[in-house]
Amino acid sequence: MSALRTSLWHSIRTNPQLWIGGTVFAAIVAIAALAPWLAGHDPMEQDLLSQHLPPFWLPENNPSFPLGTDSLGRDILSRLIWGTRPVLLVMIAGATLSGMLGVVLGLVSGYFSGWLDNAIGRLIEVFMSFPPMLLAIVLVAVTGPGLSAVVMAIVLIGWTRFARVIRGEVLVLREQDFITAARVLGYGHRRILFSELLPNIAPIALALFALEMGRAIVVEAVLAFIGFSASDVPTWGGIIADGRSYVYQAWWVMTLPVVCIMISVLALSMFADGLRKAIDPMMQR
Amino acid sequence: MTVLDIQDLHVAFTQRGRVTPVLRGVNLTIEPGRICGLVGESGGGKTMVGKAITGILPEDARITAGRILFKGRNLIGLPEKERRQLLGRSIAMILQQPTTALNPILRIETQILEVLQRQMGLAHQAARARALELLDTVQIRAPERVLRQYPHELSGGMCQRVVIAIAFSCQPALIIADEPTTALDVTVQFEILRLIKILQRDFGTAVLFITHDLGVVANLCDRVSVIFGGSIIEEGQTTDIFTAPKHPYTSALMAASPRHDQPEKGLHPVPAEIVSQLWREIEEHDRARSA
Repeated sequence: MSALRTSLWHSIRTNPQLWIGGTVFAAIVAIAALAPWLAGHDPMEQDLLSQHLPPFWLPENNPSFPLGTDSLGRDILSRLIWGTRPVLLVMIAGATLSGMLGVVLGLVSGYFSGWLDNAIGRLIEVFMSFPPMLLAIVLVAVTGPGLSAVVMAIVLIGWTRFARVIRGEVLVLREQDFITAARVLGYGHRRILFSELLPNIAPIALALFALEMGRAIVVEAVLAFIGFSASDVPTWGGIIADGRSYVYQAWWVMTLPVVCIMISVLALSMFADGLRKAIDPMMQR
Repeated sequence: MTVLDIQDLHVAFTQRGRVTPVLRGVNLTIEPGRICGLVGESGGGKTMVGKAITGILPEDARITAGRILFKGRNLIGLPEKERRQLLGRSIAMILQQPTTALNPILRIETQILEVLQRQMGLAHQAARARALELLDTVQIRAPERVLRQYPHELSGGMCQRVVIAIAFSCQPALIIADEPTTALDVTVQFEILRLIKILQRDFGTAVLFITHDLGVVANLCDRVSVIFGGSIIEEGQTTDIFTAPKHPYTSALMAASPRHDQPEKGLHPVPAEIVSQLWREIEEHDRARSA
């Protein structure tokens, strides 16, 4: 038991990014799960008599709305808390799907040279040459706004980042002796791709995954800001959009969700770094 | 029955439409349970022979002529599936760099068990028991611990023992050892060579030992083939070759080996006349073939 405790302490001391980032991420998950109990108000409930109430540290605040209210008198804290749900959904679904697509295409592209690699390479370039937001807006224009459109937009942009990095890694790895050794042992392509190469790119893929989750939050916020995300549930981007028109009267409406986004994205990139360090056996020394 | 019979093997590189031959009619035979040395200087094509046998030639290299008979079966043009069944099980290979020949991110256990389960069809428990046995055979003192370790936690010599264990795991008929001790220091080199000798004798495995080190050949091999410019210029019993080399290049190569017991003799590079004479012959041969 004490051995476990010392190794845990060692890990916290040598890899604080993992633990800080992981804690914040875990907190977001917990808040999303416990939203009905944590939020003091219905996030959609309007109270037109208490519009633009300031947060608790400013004068004239109302203790029942700790972070103030927006232009329709809705409780911002409750909206931020409920907002973690769509954010989490978009983060996880967007990063998972773009990760799976990008890793498979990157592996295949890097391992098999020739026309397949060329085709995937061109595809990556085409997708990357589009301004990502334009791509997302075009997509939403076709499918209509909503969370699934946001996820699709994230995947459409995100897979290229995975594919490009993984392809580069595989190009280096496949020339190494252990891949030759695997071929000489009579292993087939599928086995080499998934049993030999995949474990080697797993640390970097996981780090990219955590980074992609952070990017997903930003994409969602931007799409929500221009009204292309879900409108029936509160999202962080949606709160920013609502607060924009009143930024001179009630700056906190717009600022608070921005702070939430910044903290989450920062935490996720720390988590990404820490994760890579923790998983890669070569870096554990 | 002859394990390996290479007949008139030609391999050429094609780069930007230009064809450069690297093997120019290699002939080589290995009898069961024998060690055959393939010696030559860098660039002589010795590694290409090993790569051609196992089908891992670089993408721009191609076998242009000849046959590689493994137990009477031509490996050239063999369907991919049949070739993969032979590799690992009947033909294995030991590579030069032991530290990179193992997958850096998988435990030794995963890597040995994979071969045993896939090629020998053993169940997990049986494969694990066999893996421990194999590690014991290659004289690894704490096999249980080594199984749990990653390649970077092992020394080069230990890695090469693991690689050897994997190569011998299916008791193949033929092992191709491509400079297996070149990357190791001298004391480890000796142990690894002895290990290969013991295992090949116990398992009755034929070995094609590719090296530039004549001292290793003299101690290990039954027969020797000397390769230069992609063709075998001399072949015979090790003792015959070393006592009475027929080709002037072979004697020059032997004279060029530094002798630690006779430092006063100094260093003797292979005389330029011999090399340029050989290249003239090769160029003539190339011209004759392409004409």
